[in-house]
Amino acid sequence: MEFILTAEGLNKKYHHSKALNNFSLHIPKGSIYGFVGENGAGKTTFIRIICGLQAPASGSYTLYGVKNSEKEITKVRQRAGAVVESPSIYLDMTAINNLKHQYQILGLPSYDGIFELLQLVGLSNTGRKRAKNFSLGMRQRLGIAVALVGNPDFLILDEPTNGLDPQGIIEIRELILRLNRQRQITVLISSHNLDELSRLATHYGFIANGSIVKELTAKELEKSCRKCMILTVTNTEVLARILDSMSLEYNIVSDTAANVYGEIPVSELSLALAKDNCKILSIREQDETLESYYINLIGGGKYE
Amino acid sequence: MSKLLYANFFRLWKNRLFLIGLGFMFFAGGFLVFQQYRQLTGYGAAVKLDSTFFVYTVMIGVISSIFCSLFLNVEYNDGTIRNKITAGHKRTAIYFSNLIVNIIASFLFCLSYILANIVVGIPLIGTLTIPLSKTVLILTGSMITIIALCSIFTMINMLIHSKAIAPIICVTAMFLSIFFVNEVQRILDNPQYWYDGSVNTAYVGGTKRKQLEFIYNALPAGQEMQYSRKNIENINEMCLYSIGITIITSAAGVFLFRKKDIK
Repeated sequence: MEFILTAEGLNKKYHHSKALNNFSLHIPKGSIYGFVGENGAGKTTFIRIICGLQAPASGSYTLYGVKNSEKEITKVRQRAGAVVESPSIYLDMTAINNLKHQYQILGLPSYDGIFELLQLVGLSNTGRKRAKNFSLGMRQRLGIAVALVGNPDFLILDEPTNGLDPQGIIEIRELILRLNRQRQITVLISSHNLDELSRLATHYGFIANGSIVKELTAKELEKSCRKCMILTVTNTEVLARILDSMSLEYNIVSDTAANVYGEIPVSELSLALAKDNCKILSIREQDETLESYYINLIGGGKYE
Repeated sequence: MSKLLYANFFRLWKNRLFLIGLGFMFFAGGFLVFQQYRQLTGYGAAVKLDSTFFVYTVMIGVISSIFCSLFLNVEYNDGTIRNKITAGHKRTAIYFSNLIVNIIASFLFCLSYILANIVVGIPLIGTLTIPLSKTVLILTGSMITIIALCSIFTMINMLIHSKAIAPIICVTAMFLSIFFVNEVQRILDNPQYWYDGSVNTAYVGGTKRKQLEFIYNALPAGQEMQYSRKNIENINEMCLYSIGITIITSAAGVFLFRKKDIK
């Protein structure tokens, strides 16, 4: 597999707290890599490091096959666009002038493609309106447009849907999918919005306390996220005994509830429970989501 | 660095603060000349363009401190400095491109003031009476002082990314140094003897005078004050101090900026 970005054993300290602790990560080419972790887990620190805004204390990362210690790293960074935390745009300039400024920073010979970029992010009708008068969603899209100047093949988005309304979230999602599918841009996207991320990502990296806990593909996640039935009963001891006798996989989650996996012979189970004076209070089906997977992984110590 | 300079100048021409600064300096230049003209027509006073022509040297420190702070701090505040770094530019190039734009902008502020003196002043109160060579020396010296001032302001603003703190430090430091230098100038201006030959007890001599003279010549605010008074007695010394300040602040600024964690 070809990787756009890999990191091995990165460490970064702020005063006395460790922001990254032996951090390793692998982003395949063409993927939308969902970077998941709680506040302060080290997501933004890692993004700042690969953007060259901060230097790691130790460890290394490789961007397009070039190690961070090599001189060429500054050149290959030009192939990546980034929106770190907030969109990096001049608020007192129009959308067009922001893009022209970025064209100049990159030393592009002409302004060809500015209108296409504005169209792509849905800002072609902003005219002489300054960015400070834009909505949060418009600013975010302009930030992405600025990051797209120079046709990068790797886009880094740090919390791109933060503070956006539902319409804004949908627009950003569609934009990211369009960029990935139409332009084959690899995207690293960090987000707290796990539901939103699950609609986009092809790969996931879970980070906790400055370390990557687990990396997996969306397909692998799908396999891990199994359907289960949540059974609420009057006596879980009886339930456990009967489920064992039926060779069903389960786990008891409270005094009255258990998650049961696989196909359940409901009639047979209810009869068996009734025989031992155990009543079924409720049965409901549950899909394990990215959110519950994340909670299990980070909170449950399921570090594989 | 040419790409960064091109981009910075693009932003400069579109910057409202810069345009306001240019307008203010032109207005100030014209206003001071007009005040002189009123002295001439109202009281018949013998006024010269010389008395207003170099006043920009006193004003430019404050104007530059405000402009540099607000122009540079936007880079941190709006996060646009990240675009430059991610685009693969070296931090040294980013630093110097910002310094150069600040210097050019400050020169243009001065030019705007001088232009107003020429356009309004020459028709109303005549040309300069001081020799051209002295005029050129004052202009050159004051420009070197402006470079030193811009180096200080650039260093402060590139190292402090707080939108509130950096401008306050620059503007307050500028005002304080002006007040301080004004006091030093007042002390140094005391004559050793009065007109009747009696000793002036307020006169400061010896080592203390040398120390005060050093401050007066070394501080950019002191240099500005001397240029505004058309005093070029210590111009070589002042230029050397300014060049020294420029080298030290730029070297320190680049060194620390290269190590700075940017958010």
